[in-house]
Amino acid sequence: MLLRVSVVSIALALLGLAEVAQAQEEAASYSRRGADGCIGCHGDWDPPLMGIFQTPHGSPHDARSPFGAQQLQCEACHGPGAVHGGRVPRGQPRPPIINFGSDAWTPIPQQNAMCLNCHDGHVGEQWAGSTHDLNSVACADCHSLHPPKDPLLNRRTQAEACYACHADVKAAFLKPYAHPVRQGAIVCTDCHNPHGTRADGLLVRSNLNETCYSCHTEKRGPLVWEHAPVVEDCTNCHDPHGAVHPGMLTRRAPLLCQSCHTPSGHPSVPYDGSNLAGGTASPFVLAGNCLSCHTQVHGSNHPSGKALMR
Amino acid sequence: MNGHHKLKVVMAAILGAGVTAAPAVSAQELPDFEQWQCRFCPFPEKGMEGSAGASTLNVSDDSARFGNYTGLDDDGLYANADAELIYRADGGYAVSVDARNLGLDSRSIALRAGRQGSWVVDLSWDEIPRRLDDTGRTIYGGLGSSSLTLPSGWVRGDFTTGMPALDQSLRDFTLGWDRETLGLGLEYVQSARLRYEVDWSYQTKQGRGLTWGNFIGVAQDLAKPLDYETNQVDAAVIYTGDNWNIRAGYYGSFFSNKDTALTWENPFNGPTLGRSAMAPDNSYHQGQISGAYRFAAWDSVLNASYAMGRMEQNDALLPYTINPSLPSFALPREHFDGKVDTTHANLRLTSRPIDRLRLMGEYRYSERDNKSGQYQWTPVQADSLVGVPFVNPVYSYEDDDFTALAEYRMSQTLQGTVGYQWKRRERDYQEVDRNEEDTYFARLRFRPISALALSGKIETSSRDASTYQPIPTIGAGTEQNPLLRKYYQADRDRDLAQVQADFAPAARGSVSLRYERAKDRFDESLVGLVSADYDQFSVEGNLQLWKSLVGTAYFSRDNYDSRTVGAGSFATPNTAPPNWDGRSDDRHDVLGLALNWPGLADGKLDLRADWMNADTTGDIRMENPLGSPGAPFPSLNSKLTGAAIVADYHLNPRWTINAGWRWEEYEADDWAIDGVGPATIPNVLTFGARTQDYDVHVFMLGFRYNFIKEKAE
Repeated sequence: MLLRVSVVSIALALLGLAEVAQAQEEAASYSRRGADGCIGCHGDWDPPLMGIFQTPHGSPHDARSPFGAQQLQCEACHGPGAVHGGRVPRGQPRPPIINFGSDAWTPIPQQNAMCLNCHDGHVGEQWAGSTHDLNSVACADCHSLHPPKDPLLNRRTQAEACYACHADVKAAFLKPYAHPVRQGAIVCTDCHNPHGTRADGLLVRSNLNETCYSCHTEKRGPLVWEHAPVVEDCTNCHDPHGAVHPGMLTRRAPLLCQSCHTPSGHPSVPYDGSNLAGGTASPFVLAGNCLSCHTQVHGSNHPSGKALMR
Repeated sequence: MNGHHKLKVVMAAILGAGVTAAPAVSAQELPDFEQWQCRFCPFPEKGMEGSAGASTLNVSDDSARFGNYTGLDDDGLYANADAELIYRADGGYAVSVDARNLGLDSRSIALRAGRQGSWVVDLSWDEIPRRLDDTGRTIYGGLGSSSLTLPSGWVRGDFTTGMPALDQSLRDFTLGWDRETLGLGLEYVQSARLRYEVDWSYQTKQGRGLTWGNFIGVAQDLAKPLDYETNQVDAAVIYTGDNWNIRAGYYGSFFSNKDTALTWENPFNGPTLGRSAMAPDNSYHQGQISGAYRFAAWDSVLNASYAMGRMEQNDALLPYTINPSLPSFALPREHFDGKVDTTHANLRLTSRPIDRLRLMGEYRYSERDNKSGQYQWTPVQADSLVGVPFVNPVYSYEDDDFTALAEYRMSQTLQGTVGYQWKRRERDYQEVDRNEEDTYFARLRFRPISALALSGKIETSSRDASTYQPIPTIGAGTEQNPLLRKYYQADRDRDLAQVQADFAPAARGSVSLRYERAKDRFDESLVGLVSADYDQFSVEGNLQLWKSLVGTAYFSRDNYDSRTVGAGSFATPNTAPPNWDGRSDDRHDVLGLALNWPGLADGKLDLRADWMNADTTGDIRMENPLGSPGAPFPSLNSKLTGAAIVADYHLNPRWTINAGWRWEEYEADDWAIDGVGPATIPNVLTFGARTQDYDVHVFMLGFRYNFIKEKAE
């Protein structure tokens, strides 16, 4: 009796596995007509999907494109669609197909794996384990593939796409001293590579200072007299997204300078409201403050520049 | 995509990334492509697409600050144009242009031609107008050159109040520059696996920047000439294998400054002439190699990179001084042999041993090895005093850091991450040779329903400094207070917490909230920065108010508070105990509203409107300055308010009329410049610049032409 039960159980189990395998195989079948079948239902979808044919993904002339010759068209990204596009019994939900974005049913690693199948060589070198990867950011959270233009790849609209997650940075660019992202003169990807880099903060060059030097090339040096915290890390003094104080300094001079300079006399003594224009009008507080004399705060190449005054 | 790539797509679709533990399913047959005609695919036809527009702008007022980066610094009429066009030819060839602000100093244009998948050439031109200040006045002639001269008839004085020709000699001038960049790029796709990329740019930066000149005890605001040129090259070859890819590249940067020095006449009594060095020419070469290998087991990926570079600078050196009354010492070198070698590398492994668990480990290395020459110099301080001979320090840094992280998916809705990071930085010629920092962090993501996503992160780190050792200084009285600990080297404890909630209950609206708090404590520092706190809160919501009318509201507040303890003394050396306490509290509030209402008047009218206010306050309090009560600083304030309304009226599918109004107002109070005229500070002759308040309206009227096909019309 026991043996009979076991045999039946095994048979049922095998049958079950076979059914699962058959279902999975069916689910993995490609559609009969390719994109033509998809467009039959999705051609006038809202939001519109047909804009993709004006994008690189919709090009029939690029052998690498999903719509290149002998390519898998819509199913290159959305996976085999035979079951999704097939007949559905009345009252049954239509079986889903791979979809994209944080609110999609498809797990984000699976979504991103679809993208990386083709884009490994474009963005994949440092993607795995990068900040965005580890925070489960889906490629489609940032990129929009179906509109004629991906807002993220358009310098006019890119920042808004980044602000969707980085609300603090959006506010920082409205501070009185900030890099000109608000005005559209530079964009986030001028400094950051969202697909991962070897540098902190996803910076485009090898580290923070080398990223800054790519625009502020005059500060690269090396100089005869370097200011140590400058060559170590620009953010020791600056907040590159924006600050309350001139020069995007994290704190107002002379307090900022006095955090590190305490020799006897003017660097060490405190300054207060009595040193303003209506009072003693101290050069250590007003106008250029410390910089009025220590003009070469980023370093000096003058033989007499030890105190950064020449 | 070759057959193997197709198979990868199939496998990825079936298995998902990292679900390698699932039962294997045989890959499906590829479809019968004879049946995949794509007859309904709306491939673009040959011809022009896109749009181009022209407009006139009327700016109500002059303002350097409003014109900063926008190019709208003068009042009056501007003619402007922009275009986003693509011409598609047969065979996949295309030429595109993306142009904007063609009539303004902030213009840019990018041309692109080629055949996607084969080759693409980019040619671009970009201008960034930096309008620094238009409120200052100067006595100097020769602005923009490397030699600044006093006006004829100038009478020097010991103080600014003793310069009788000052008022009559002051004249208005502006500070600012234009940054212009010409770019050329080429991408050549040799095969599905191999491609090449080259980008070259030539950038100039020309105009006048702010600097200062000084002699012992006196100083003056100066305009320095800016005439920079920079060439940069990025070149790479990229090869993509079946489960690996590699990129080998070169980066070169070549900076040149036409003005190596700035000479100015001294308006005070004392030496006649002063001279400062300007930024010297420099170059940087870097070779890079990076790649990734994807293992079949455990969905593992190994990333690695290595980059080696050299910075060089060997400009001719200026003499110690141009003051003829001082002895002339020979320089140890005519040209400085500045040389820094850089090395950067990383090795990162990510793996998913089971579907629910992901592991990551990374090691990074970075070095700045300063190989510049060291010489004994005899500096002349401010062209006035012969100083003590001193050898230039050459700062080098070496960083290592290691990160390990585990991410576990407890369910479809809950995911947690824990991690550890160890960092080491070594320096030389500085007070602290070595810092080590341990950081522990944890993250949690919870999505109880599809409409709600919650996430949180906590992090705590502790940085230890090696023995704090005084470094040699240049003479008596220049030693640091022994209690000082410089904040970027000092022992530090840092705690950080971050939470975020995104709620999208329906397609009609959503709301996002974010809060972050960070605390830095420098408990071993008796003098110097002892604490810094940062917190930020933001909320953003959008709602479909009625039909196609969508409203967005945004609020953000951030605070950055810090405390610096000082030890003031006039005794040499300064060994005073802590005797003053400086607190700085910065606050920044942003409030924004926007309405977007497309499709009005039977789809012919699109309306957009927004309003924004950014309000900033900076309070600095000096507590117990040398035992006295201390006079308070007034608040630093700035307020930026703006509004805009834009209407696009579509006459027909081809023609659109655009009209708009934009208003911006900026008001600031800054005690560092408020009430400071050229002669306010007795020993500093300033430009007397003011806060650049403005109230500017811009009216716009224009049209746009859409290039569309007949049938679309």
